[in-house]
Amino acid sequence: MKRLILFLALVTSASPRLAAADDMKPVPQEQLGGTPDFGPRPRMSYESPQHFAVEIKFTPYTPHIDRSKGLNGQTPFSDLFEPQGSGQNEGKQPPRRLLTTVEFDYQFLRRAYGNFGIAITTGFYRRTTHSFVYGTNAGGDTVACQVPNCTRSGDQTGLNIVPLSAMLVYRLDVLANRYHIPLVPYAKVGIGYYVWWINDGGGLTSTAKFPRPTAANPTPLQTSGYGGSFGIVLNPGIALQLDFIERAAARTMDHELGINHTYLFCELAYANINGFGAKNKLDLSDTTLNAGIGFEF
Amino acid sequence: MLRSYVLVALVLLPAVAFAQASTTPTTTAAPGSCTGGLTATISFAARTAADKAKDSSSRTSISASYAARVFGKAECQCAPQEDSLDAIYMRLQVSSGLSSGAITNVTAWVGTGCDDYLTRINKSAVSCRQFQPMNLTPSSFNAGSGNIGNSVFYDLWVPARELFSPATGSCDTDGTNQIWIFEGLTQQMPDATCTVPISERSTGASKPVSPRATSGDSAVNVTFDVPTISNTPTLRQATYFQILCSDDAGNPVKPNPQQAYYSTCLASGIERRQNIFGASNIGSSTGDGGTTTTDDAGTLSAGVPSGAFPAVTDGGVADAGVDAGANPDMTVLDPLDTTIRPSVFESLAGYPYLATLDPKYVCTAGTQPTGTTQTNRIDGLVNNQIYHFVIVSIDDYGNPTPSDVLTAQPQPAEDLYGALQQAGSKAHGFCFVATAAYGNYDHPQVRLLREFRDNVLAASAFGRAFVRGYYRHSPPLAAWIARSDGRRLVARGLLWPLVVLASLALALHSLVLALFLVVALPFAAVRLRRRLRRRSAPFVEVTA
Repeated sequence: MKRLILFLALVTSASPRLAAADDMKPVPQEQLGGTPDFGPRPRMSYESPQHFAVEIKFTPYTPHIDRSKGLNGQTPFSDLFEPQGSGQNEGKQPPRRLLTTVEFDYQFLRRAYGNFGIAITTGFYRRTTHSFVYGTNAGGDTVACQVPNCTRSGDQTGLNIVPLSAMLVYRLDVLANRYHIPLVPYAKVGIGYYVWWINDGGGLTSTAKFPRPTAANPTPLQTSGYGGSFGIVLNPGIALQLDFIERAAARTMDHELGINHTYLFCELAYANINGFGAKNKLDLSDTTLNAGIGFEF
Repeated sequence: MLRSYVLVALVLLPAVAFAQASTTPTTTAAPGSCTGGLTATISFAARTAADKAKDSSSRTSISASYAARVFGKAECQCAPQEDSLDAIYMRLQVSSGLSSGAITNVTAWVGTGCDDYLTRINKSAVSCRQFQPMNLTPSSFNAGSGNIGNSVFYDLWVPARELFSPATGSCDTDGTNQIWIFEGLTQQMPDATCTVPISERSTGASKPVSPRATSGDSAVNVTFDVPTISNTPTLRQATYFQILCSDDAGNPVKPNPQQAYYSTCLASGIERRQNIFGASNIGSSTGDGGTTTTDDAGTLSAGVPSGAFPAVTDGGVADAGVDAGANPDMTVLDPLDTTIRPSVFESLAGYPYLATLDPKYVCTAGTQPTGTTQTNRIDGLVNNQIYHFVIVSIDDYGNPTPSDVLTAQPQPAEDLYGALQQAGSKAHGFCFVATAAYGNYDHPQVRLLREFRDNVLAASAFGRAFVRGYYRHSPPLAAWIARSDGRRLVARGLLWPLVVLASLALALHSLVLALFLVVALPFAAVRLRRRLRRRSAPFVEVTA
């Protein structure tokens, strides 16, 4: 804490010119050509009311499905989504794919030391790969292939995730708003609920018949590949307030559109989404980085 | 006042537009370019046995757009069979300002460069060919088949196959040809000439590129690259693609085939199966009894819209329009004729059942070219059986161009969900915050929620589904909540709005009304509070 105060003090003392930039000096009377003196000009740092924020985030994301309960060390997600055959990718976490998210904040409390808000987010994530071809045993029944000796099918299977979350947000925007240091540290913590579904080769929601139908059991139990998992989400990050690039333009945006500030931000995206350890939930957790653009209005 | 003008304009504009559309003159025929007193027009007609006995004015003509397609590939294939009278004919009407009996010699040619006498007499030349349509002799011309004022005119009914150049019924000529009429004592220096452009489109659409078929689970994925050519006189862009499927024994895969978007060639001529450009069907489908016939008056009895196919304007070729308003695109066929003409598609020679492009094998709807690669998934197949596929490119004339035959064998496949289940996961279904927060089955609020479940949620299918899902998936979360007093406290707080909602819904006997009140009341309260505050605010006296 002491270090933080010391840092803030240093930063504050290092930018006296910026801090004083808005203190407009009164224009000498003689330069006004006899204009009546109405006293000192008002400050030009008017800001429209600010209650909301919208962020668009881009995240490289891959769910840790193979850590789900019940898999007992097997890695079906990795087997399917990692190239097989080289013998080097077995069990390896598949590479990340883009998750696009939109966040909407309601800033219900604004204080000199920052503002508090609640945020809801939603997004969409999809990745596809070719399924594995089943084999057939001597009895004519289908049997699963053994990685890495599997053949890819012409059918594609797709994993779709819609991450939903509700978070409490704190933004320390005093540095930017008062001291013109265009950095806004913030933190978000809340609950996430990730809805998922899996497509089969026909693009429909997968219907798994497990075990595979056999002559002895032609109609095995059948379930559909969809569900949702609860969990905890935590997003600490830092935003770069872009107003400093062109303050006049920023003020114009505020006056005409009501957009108070524009940000580029980067945040740690920690999501522990495993249904709190429930056995029938997929583990969609991942720890990665978000980046995006945000608007306060 | 301004509003009145606007209203009048809004009412009148469509009316004016309609009037303009409905009074658009229809082209009766495409005129030729003539000199020396001849005039010629070209049109196309469906000539039937019944028509033959009629005079020319009551014969059934066909629309300009259809006429332009007469020389397409399918028509070309059908042309050799057009010895029967039920066929597409070209009607070439030539009239002369000369008096009857003064015409000495008339010949007709088709091809290119026929104006050159040396080309005409050169037996080895292939670009220009004389045809002998229907007693085209000076005497027959002089006899005439009608009179227009003081001049005589003569109808030449030329079978479409005669007009393919260089050979009768040849399918290897594309682009633009012309019909040439010469009249005069000497053919070297005719007294009068007429040239009428026609269009031959025999090549059809460009073939699908790199077609391939891969196995799926009870399905096959047929993929191809969309050809990226532009329309040229010799090659057309594909307007649609369709896939034909058969099993290894030559049987159609789908019991109810899709409608073919291309022309097929029956023993008696051309059949238009489907208007691929959005209007209703043209002609009849094999086996459905037929819908288009020609009645005694020589007019179509089927309500087929006119102008369904786009006019061809590229290359400056005349569309040979004939009465597009009254005589629509049509087919003149025996609806009972279901014999498919043996195909000339050599690439399909090993698969005679597919080689005819018989529409009963069509297993996909027509798809327009999109992107660079297209994939069609043919499902409903039996795993471990062999199937054959042909991708058909269809040009804007309805001409089909097939790919080579693809063969694939569906095999059972394991998608991600199957793999998860196989590995032991039981992941499935949604989960909601549930009970257990109150810790007591007989807690008043638990009882209230139970009553809400039985009396409100159970009344609707959605509510019942919700309850089923809740009971299926809530136990793990409930157990997790029950293990901690803190979690139970939080869960109670979260359940409070639901308890309020349940109370309201039970009191009002309406979940919808309760939802409305829960949402609307806080807003109303805030607004009321603001209004009261504003009223009670003291006035501030402003003094100068």
